[in-house]
Amino acid sequence: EVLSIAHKEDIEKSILELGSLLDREFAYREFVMFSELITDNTPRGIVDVYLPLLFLANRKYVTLIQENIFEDILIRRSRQVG
Amino acid sequence: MHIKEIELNNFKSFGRRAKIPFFDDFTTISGPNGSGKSNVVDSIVFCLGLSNSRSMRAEKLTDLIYSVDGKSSGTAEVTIRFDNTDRELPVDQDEVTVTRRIKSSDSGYYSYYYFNDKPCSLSEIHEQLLKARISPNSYNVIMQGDVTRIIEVSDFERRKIIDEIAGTAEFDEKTDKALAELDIVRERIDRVSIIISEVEARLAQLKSERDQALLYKSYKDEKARNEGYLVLSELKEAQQVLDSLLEDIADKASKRQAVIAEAEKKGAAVQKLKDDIKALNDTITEKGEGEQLLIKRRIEEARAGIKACSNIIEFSRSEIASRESEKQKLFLEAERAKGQVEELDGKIAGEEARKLSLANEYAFRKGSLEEVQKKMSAIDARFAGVRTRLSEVKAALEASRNLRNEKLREKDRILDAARRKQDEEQDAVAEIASSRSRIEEARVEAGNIEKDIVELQKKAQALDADISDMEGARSRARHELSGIEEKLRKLQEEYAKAEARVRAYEDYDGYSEAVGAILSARNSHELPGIYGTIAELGKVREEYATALEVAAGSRLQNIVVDNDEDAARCIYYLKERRLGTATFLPLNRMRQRLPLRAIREPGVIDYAINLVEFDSRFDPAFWYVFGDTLVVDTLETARRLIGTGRIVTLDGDLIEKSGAMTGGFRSRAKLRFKASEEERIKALAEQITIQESSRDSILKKIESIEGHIYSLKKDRSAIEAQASKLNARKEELAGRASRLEAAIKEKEAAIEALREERRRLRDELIAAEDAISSADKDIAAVSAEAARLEEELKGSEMPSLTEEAGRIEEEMRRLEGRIRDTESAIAALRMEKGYVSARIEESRERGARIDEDIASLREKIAQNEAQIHDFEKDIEEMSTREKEIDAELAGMKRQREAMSEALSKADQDLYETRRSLERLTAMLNTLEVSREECLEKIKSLEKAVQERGIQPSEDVPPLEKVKATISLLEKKMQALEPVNMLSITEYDSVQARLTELTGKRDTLQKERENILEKIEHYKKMKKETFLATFNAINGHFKEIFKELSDGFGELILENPDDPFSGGLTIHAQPQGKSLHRLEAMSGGEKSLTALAFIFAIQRHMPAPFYVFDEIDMFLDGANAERVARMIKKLAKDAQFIVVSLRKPMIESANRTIGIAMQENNISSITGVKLRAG
Repeated sequence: EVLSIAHKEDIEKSILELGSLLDREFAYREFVMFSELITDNTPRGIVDVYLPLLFLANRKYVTLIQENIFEDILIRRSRQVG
Repeated sequence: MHIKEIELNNFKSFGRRAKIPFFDDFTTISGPNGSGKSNVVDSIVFCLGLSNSRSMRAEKLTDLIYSVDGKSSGTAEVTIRFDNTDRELPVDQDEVTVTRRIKSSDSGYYSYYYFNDKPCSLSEIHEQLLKARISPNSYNVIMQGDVTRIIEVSDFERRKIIDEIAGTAEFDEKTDKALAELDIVRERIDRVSIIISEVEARLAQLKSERDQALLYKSYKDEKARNEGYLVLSELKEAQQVLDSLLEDIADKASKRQAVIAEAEKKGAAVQKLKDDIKALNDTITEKGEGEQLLIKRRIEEARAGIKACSNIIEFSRSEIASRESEKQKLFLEAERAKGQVEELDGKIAGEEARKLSLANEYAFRKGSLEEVQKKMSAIDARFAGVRTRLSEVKAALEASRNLRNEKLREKDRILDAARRKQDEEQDAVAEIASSRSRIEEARVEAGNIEKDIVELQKKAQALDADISDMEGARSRARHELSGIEEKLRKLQEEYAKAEARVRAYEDYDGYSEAVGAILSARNSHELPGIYGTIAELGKVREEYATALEVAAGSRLQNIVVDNDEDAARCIYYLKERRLGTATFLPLNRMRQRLPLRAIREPGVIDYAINLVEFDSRFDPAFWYVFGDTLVVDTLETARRLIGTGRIVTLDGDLIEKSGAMTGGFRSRAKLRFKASEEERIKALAEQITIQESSRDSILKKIESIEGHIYSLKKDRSAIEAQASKLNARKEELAGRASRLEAAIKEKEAAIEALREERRRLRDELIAAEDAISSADKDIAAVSAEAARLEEELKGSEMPSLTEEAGRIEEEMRRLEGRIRDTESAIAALRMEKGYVSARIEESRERGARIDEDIASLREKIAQNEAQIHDFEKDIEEMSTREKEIDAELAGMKRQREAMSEALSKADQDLYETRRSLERLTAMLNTLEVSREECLEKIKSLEKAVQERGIQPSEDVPPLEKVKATISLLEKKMQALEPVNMLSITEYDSVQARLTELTGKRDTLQKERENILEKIEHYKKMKKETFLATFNAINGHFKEIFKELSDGFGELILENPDDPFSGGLTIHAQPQGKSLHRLEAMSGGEKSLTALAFIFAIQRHMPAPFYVFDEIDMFLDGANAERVARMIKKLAKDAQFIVVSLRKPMIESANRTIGIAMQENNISSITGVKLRAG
């Protein structure tokens, strides 16, 4: 089935994609909201964005700020990378 | 119940305070590797202390504290908040929190737990969590390593997972305990058995002593019985004596009765005589000494009366005459005195008139004086009285007040003292009560201690008995051991000797050179057909060896060969080599044995040939050697038999048929029957082995006995220590009790004294109160009087009155003088007149008296004359009566003499009778004393007879026979002596002890069986419990495996009959594949199988929430999907928190929490909701 593709390889690719997407956004603004990145509002669609985002945060590429958990997340370019 | 929130503070990568909310559904935690997502799982394990069986991913607690560049705050904390609205945890709160905090300090690291903010211990946390089905073994928190662990551990370890879940350890513990008990019981049985064998040995020994004692006793009883017959015969004799005595007594008693009657009769007669005589005597006395005398006296009296009367008459007549003359003289004197009186009367009248006028004047003066004096004294008396009264009253008032104050003070003092005494008394009463209760306590405790001590003493006695039995067993065993060792030493010595001898044979010592050469040739197979020497081929018993060797003599080294050809070959052999000669016995040519006559003679043992053992085919050769030689015991026997044949004694002395005798001291020949030696060595070795093994077993037994003795002694000294401690305590209690008793007595005496004191005080108080009230009364009265008196004191008019009184008094004194003069004159005159008047009166009275005298004298004369006439008449009457009485008395006296004579005769007769009665009585007394003695003797004899078991009614057997029996019994008894009579009772007590011990052993054995049964039961229970759990989990596994892989899988026990001896493996057959064992599966299959196993366990033991840490790491996509689906399904019934990086898993959850490591290496938390829920 379609679902049986290896996730690992999948993730590295989606990290790069999300990174370049965010780069484009940060070129003209300070931050992006997580909800803006969601195109497919299904669990899979959300996870497809959220997972790469966590990787980017972990790599100190972006900083994630969430005022209240499970609400919208503010994504900002990390300072040291800036 | 589910986790509502986890709060992390300084825990691992969560450097800041962070709260993660959870819901009762499916939540994933995701994030890149190293973001700290697994630390969330760690925090749960840490906080709930679930790390028992599976270690957390940190070696030390310190590593759990967040630190940056080696700096840390030194404390970390995790709080888990549970939603408890379903009250799964039996705490009446909607929210339950568990907190754990660790702190580092210089001295180390400290861990604190809090349940609902209250400090508590880890075990308390576990206890609470267990109520909600959460435990370190419950497989609700699955760490990364758990899945691989299930795969990688040995089958055996895997089986232990089921063990743990089933809780079989409980049975192992119980079994261990039972085994420990079993050891103790076994040891006790061992001990009791040793004691029993010892007691049995003693009992056996005692039994013979007791049997002897019983026999002795029966002889003794028999003897006593026979002696009883002797006594019985004595008794019978005594009874005969008694019978004759009784007869005699009856006879004498009847005689005595008769004599008594006679004596009574005679006594009555005597009495009657005496009475008669007495009556007669009385009459005589009355008549003679009474009436006769009276009459005589009356006659005399009458005569005297006549004489007296005549005298009186004469005297009276002369008196009358003298009175008449005196009367005339008196008349003259009276006439003269009357003139004197008239003269004096005139003088007195003159003086009286003068005196009267003086007296009137005096009376007047005196009246005025009295008037004056009355006035004065009235005034004076009044005022003087008032003054003195007033001062008296004032003094009394003062005294009363003082008294009252004093009494008041005294009352206060008494009240105070009384209060104090009462307090003291109450204290004393309370103290007595407490002392009593303490005494009671001490008494109760002492009673208990007493009981305990008695119990301990009993135990100690039992132990003493055990110890002494054990020691007996030990000394017996030691004795046995030394016997065995001695035997062993001898055997070993002998063995060494025999061995040396055998070695000597092997060196052909004792054989001639030729024989030795032949034997060497045989051994080297140089020469055929050689069997050996006679010495080699025959076996003899040690005791006959000397005799048989002598009997054989030099033929002992004859060589037995098969046939004459062989013999010839040997002879050539010797010749060639010049080795000397030897004798050969070719079996094919030797003569056969002749029949031997059986010999039955004392001292004869047997024919020599019959005492040697050999192979029957060598019979002709041995016949040649021994022939009909006879073996006897001694030289004496041999001498008796000289001439009958060749004879040899056991000492080796030989007597030929011809009579030639060879003998003397014989050193053992070097050449002996070898076969016997070898046999002997074998036998010795066997015996040595036997002895050694019995020595070893005895040594072991001694060792075990010593162990028992040691432990028994230890027990005993422990008991003694306890007993002495209890004794000390008891003494202390007794001392305390007596101290308290003394204190009570003291207090009681004190109370008595206090009560007495109080009674006295009360009396004093009453007295004081009385005194006060009377003083009050006095004060009131006295005060009133004083007031009145003071009012009364006023002025007076004394001086003028005093002067007037003085004047009047002077006048009165003058008048008094004159009156006195007059009065003295009057008095003198009157006195003179008095004298004269008195004289006249006197004379007149005298005259009158004289007249009276004369009249009375005349009357007297008349009276006396009449009396004289009476007297004369009386005298006449009396004389007549006197004559009559004299006649009467003479008759009566004659009668009395006759009666006296009769009385003395009767008296004599009575005396005689009484003498004979006394004699009879004395005889009877003597007889009765004899009878009493005889009865006493019979009684004691009867007792003696009955004591010897004979009825007094029995007949006496002939006495000679009895005496003979007694002396026979005495001889028998002497033969048995010395006899231990105590052995009878001792045997019984030892027997009782044996019974008790046997009972004890039986009890112990029963106990042992019970324990064994128990162990068996535990084993069975363990297996059943295990199998129940296993089957349940296996069932779940099959279902879950099918669900996860569409294939077939099951848990397999290596050894289903005894699951604990084998391991557990898993067989699986995913769809479309062949059946594999776990080891043979691919990595993904292994993971899936292991997960199925974990899910099966979880289904067996459901928990309220589950935490998984990257369990899907090694699954391929499709399987990850299946596992995710299963969790999603399961999450309907329980909370699932799953750490995962796998998209199918994350996507299946309701929420996902993202962890990313941001600045300062702090894990940041964000979260995304994937589904409404």
